[in-house]
Amino acid sequence: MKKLMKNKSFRAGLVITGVMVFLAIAGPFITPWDPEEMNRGLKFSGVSLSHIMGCDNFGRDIFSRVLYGLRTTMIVAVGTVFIGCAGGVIIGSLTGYFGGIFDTVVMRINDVLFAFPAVLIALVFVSLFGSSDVILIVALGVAFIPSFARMVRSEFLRNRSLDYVAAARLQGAGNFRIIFFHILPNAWPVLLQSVIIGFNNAVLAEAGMSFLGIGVQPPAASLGRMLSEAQSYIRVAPGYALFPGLVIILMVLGLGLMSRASYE
Amino acid sequence: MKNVLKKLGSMVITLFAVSFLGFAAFAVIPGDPAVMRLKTNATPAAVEALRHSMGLDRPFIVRYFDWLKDFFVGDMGVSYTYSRPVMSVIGSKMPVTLYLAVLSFIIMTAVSLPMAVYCAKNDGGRADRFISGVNQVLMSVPSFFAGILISYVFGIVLRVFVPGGYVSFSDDPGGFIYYMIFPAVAVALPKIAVCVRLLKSSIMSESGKDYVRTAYSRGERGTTVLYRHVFWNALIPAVTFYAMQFVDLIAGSIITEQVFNIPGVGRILMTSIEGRDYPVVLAILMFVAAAAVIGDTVSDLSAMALDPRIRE
Repeated sequence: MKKLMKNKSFRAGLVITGVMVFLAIAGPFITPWDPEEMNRGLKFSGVSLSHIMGCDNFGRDIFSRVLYGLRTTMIVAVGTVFIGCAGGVIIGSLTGYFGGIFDTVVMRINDVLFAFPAVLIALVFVSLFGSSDVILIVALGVAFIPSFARMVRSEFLRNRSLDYVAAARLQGAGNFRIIFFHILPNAWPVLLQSVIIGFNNAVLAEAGMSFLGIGVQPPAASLGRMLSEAQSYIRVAPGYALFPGLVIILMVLGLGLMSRASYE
Repeated sequence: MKNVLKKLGSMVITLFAVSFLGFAAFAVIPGDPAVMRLKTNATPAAVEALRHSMGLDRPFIVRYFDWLKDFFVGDMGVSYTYSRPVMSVIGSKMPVTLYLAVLSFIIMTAVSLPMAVYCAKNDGGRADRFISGVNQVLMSVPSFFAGILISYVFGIVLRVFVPGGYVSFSDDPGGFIYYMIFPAVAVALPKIAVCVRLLKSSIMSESGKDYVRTAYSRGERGTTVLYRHVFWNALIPAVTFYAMQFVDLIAGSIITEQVFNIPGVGRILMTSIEGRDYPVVLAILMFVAAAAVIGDTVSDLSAMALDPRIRE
């Protein structure tokens, strides 16, 4: 961790991500405007001191909507990574630790799912269970399990034949104890890397899904949906598309810088 | 040869597994397809008759194999929404999406190969640092936002093309190909960045190996070493990676189609998901799955072609 802090791109990523998290949490206290309040007089009004990103086609303050969208994206991303990571740890540790036919069968299915783009798995999920923010989180979370499972499994494969595991077993530790208290802590650094990349991908996936109209429903703000609405007005109000897009880029960039540094 | 057959065999098994999983997923969901197809005309007798003619009263396994058999001859069932065969609903749209994905794959490869080689040659130099900085940003741009930016800059500011002015291939082949370049660049852009980074680091780690030092000590020139030895070895992991990107490019195409108003499978997939038109969703899913599994196999096979060690 100390080594990471010395890395310039990690620090830059941490700062960007920190600012984004701060904006998402403190959003309602930063902006005086209600993100859903419409004001016809302000329709497509440009950048000004009171509306620093201008207003959209309903005269809603874009900055407030971006802040709320940011918050939605983060909630979805956290939920997605949590489900994906938890599922991946369970599947990956059991298959990697026990091996055998169980491992072969489960990993075969895992590989098939891994071959699919996460967005598509989530779309299938949504088509089966309907579209809401909770279902979106579950859908993306499930779609993220295979990549986590792969990574955790390979860590377990590497660790299970090491001496410290044998020593733990000689001391009488059970399988459960070895998996969760001996091997898993050793997999932590690699897991942390995948969590950062997972966040990165989850933010992109959420943006893509909400751009397609899945997830939070209007009038609630979401960055992807703002982009898809802004497209129709791009001639009159290019800023409407620009700001939400830039926020997505910044968020992904911050996480990307961090994950790149953690690889180095 | 044995390994090639093994790979092909596992491809076939995987395709079966995918089709079974997909079929099962859509078979267990609540809601009677017969009722959905009849919509408001769903009297109990009519539902019963349609269930029988659709074969829904037969066991699950029988239905699966029937569906699979029909699928192979191009009969993918009937769309609930359009009451037409699924093939006629998506048949004309698949090639458009596929073309977009293939075009963006070509762009991705054509740009990232020379760029990675250039960066590796000038490793640590100003140009390399600049490109890798730009790439870090490009990696963070979702393809649909890249699409919006491209259609704004090239369509509205520079007026090089008309945003939303899609023409079909049969109407105007030249116009179609020209129009598709812009969405293809949008889809390829983030992937170019990822590929450059991977290939560059692969070249870098390959250049540190013993055989490279040997080649130098034999008196070969730097460029010869790079193009004759290092590049081809560095390509082996990259080929697998490039092929893996193809599926992502299809997913990216499906989303980016919405930006450029392209009538590919993207729009029909979204309306089918909203309208719960399962036969259509399942058919599109199967196509993407097939593309994914075949792409995976092709990447393995081409890695074998490049690397005698895994060819056997």
